Amino acid sequence: MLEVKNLCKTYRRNEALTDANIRFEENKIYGLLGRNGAGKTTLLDCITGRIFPTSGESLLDGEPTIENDAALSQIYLMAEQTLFPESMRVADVMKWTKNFYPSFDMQYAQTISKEFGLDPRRKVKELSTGYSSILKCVVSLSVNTKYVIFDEPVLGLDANHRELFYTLLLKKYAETPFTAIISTHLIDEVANLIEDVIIIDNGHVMTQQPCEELLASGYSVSGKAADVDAFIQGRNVLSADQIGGLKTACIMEKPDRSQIPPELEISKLDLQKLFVQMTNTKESV
Amino acid sequence: MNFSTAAKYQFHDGKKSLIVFGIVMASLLVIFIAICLIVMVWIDVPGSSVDLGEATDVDIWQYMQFLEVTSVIFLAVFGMCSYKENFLMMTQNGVSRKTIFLSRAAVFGEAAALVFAGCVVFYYLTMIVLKIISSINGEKYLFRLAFWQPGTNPISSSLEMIIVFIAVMFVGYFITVLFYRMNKAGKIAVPIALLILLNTVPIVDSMLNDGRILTIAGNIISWAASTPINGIIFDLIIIAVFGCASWLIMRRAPVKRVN
Amino acid sequence: MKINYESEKPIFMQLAEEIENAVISGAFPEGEQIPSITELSATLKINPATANKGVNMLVDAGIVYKKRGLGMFVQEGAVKMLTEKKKNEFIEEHITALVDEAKKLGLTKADVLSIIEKQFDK
Repeated sequence: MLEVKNLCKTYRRNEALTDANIRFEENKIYGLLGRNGAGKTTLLDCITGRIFPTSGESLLDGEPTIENDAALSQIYLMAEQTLFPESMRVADVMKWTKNFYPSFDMQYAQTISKEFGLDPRRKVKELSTGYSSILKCVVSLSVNTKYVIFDEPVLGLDANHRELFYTLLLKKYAETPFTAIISTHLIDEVANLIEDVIIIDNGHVMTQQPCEELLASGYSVSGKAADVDAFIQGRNVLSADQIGGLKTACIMEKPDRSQIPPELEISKLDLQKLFVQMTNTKESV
Repeated sequence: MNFSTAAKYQFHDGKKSLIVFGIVMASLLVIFIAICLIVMVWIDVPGSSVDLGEATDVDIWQYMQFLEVTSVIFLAVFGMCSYKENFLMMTQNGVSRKTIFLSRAAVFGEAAALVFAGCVVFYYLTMIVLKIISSINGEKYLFRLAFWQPGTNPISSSLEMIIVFIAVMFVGYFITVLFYRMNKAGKIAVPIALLILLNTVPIVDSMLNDGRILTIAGNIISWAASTPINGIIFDLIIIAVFGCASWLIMRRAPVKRVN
Repeated sequence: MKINYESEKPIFMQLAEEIENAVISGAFPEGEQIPSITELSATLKINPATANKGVNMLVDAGIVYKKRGLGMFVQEGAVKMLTEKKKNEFIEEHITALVDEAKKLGLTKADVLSIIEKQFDK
């Protein structure tokens, strides 16, 4: 298990991360969600020792991860920033990754590179934003460490490539389970892939729970504005949107079918909507 | 084993410049031989009455000091190269800063040994060529490496040479690590401060202090240069100082975010 | 196979139903293999754990069974089982409700029967 305890990171006057307590179990797909600047990347950088936390600890099976080669060999972080040398060719990037991570599957990497259309002879600096991401996706899908962290993996990828990435990720996970941590602000896309969700807002971990549980904690009703208003009276309403006469409200209670009038349509909470509501409230303060 | 891969990578990264250096030195050897041929065979014609005076028993080693000097300069630059790139690449591959530093030190050792071997080969090749020329010419030519002075133990001199090479690389490394860590202000302030110091301290010292600091500095250097063992000790201290300084600066170096 | 990601019905349930429909329609014949969890999750873009949950529901209901190392297969007699189940559901959901509604509207048994007959003849 990869665990983060009371992790804090403060830059001069800015508390980028406050008291983060998170557990990443083996063989699960986690979604790490947060707005831009919420602290996701800071958290991931602290776990892997790319930056040093101000306080708190990051542990892999009880051992600190920072400056620990053995622990780091089990965690692969694919960051937004490309750290590969600019003049290195794609094929060499993979060769060296294999040297550092013996579990790297070169054949698989070559196969999926072809699927993505990634040219192994290209130099890193010659790759477009999209293909830079693709290179990183290919490497992180092939590395086969126990924990693979994808920080904004599909930045700059077109729709086809995004779908290919998710398909490959799910296939790999289904065949050889590992722990995947996907940090992203493209919530809609990952909503059905992830098992557990961790939401970070303003440096604070707002929640960590199974996605299903979070979404089951409420429901959404829509219908004529008047009907909806009548229904939501006295209930724990998270949000309400209205377009013309049609209103949709999110209610944070367990749905009781019998209570819901037939003129209202009930549906599942939408992760993205829920996320937006949860993280908007801070701003309006 | 992560350490050996890190060393392999860093060495691989520096291999190119070592090869280029080797080629440059080899070409210089060829040029030197050509110059020798011109100077000694055509200008100093055997049996002619041209009197080169002190140059007859030509002590070529003074012309050859460039071999060690260029090696030292090259290695200083070598120590400075690619710190950031290597640091980032190895961080991406899960290598701790400790291992990066130690494997870098190992690479310094390898590079020093290689450059030393190159110098020795250069020396012997030059000797062979000079012997050939002198058998044509009848003159006697001497060639020495700066470190292989007469009366010194070749083993300790060689060791000294290698350690000097390593020391020089660590100085270069220290400079580059320092610059990686410094912000813009520091990058301007430090060179300026250094310039000022190096120019004013000697003057102030000789004017106000009877040049005591300069004398001490001079004594230390001549002590170090007097015997190979002294040189080894002096340079090991340099390695320790700059090595530790580099480590202290880089042990908490963050991976800087570009966004 | 279609999953409605917005629907209130949990995805794993929808998956189970879709597989059931495919079994009834013959798209997944009895005794034949059904897509693996890998395929299902990758194609539908859902977490394999979710896919597993849906399939396990079917295993528990005896519609599908797992053959070690080979995959998942449709149980013999599954079609019959499912048709029975659907019949019962049909009766539960539609007939009972229809009769109740008819009573509310004041329709007699004869009225209802003749309406149904007319619909069948169409």
